[in-house]
Amino acid sequence: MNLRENWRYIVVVLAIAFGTYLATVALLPRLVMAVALNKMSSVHGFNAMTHSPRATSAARAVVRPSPDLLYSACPFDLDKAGGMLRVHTGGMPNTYWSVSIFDAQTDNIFALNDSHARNGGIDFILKRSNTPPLADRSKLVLESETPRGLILFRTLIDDDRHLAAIDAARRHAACEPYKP
Amino acid sequence: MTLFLKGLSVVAGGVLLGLFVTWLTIVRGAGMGGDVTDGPWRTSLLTGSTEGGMALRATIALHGLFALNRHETIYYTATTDSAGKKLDGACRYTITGRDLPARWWSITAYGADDFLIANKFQRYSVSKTSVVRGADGRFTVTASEDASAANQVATGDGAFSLTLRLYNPDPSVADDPAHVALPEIRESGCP
Repeated sequence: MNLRENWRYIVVVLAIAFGTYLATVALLPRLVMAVALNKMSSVHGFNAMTHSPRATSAARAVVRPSPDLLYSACPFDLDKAGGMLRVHTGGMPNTYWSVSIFDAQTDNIFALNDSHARNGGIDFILKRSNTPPLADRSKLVLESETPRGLILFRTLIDDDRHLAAIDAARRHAACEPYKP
Repeated sequence: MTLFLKGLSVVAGGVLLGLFVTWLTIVRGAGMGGDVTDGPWRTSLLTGSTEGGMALRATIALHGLFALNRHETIYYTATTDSAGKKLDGACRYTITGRDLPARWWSITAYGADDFLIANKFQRYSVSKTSVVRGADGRFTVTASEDASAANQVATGDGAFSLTLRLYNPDPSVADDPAHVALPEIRESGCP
């Protein structure tokens, strides 16, 4: 190949390669999230909580699960929920737990753990960021820029002997469409 | 070659090269990536954050989906031992350290596919609440193909990585993530 004669083609190939790289890297998170949400909503649909069993090597839904945590996940679609979703728990176990929200780009837009929870639990409304504020100011209201995403509870199994009790308590966590 | 065929091969070549570079830098890489190193451990304070760049976000989506931001959890991943040699399940490793500066911590082994490694006794991890410490407060954990007792983690017989999770890390970790007293990973035998 004669570089002197073909340098224009090489520059175009490199430019297309760079563009392809940028496009692929930019699209990957949304694509991975869409696949994960479809997989996770296949059992109970969107806007409902699924309480997964303790992760083992058989768990294949999400990469790098922790075997020391119990995961409860609510794949949400705020459009299908009528714009708002209520997320609430009963008394969570007396161990570390957290609730986090991920948008459609996989960004962790909110996280809170048991040390900040009131009365051992949490109760909040999730809505689209482009919708009007909630009239009821007593509620904790969180916003997502994307209609789809995931709400994820992680509950620590601090002692295997407590597993049954921890599992029972975290199953009170729920999410459902909310109408003010 | 006609102009059409030349144009087609230029576009195809560019797309294929772009996909190859993506595979090389994002898809193939084991672990959750990061620009900070502390011994064999790598991390990024931007994991899970809206401030993370495109490449980090794509890496996390593929290798650590639903990772929390640094205020809740900091993740370190090791794909090599402390001597810089790739972790290999056919070898045996000794992981030594002290309790880590966090409310709760764990070290978990993952296969090259980023999932937990199948083993008879389901020994996937050690944690603050499960590790057995010596009288001096130090712990010694063995990572090897099979694990059957406390302070052992199974690695399978292929390439693997270790993820160290620091839940509610001490503020000192985010202040200087490259100088945390993290566990050492020493190879202690290969076939």
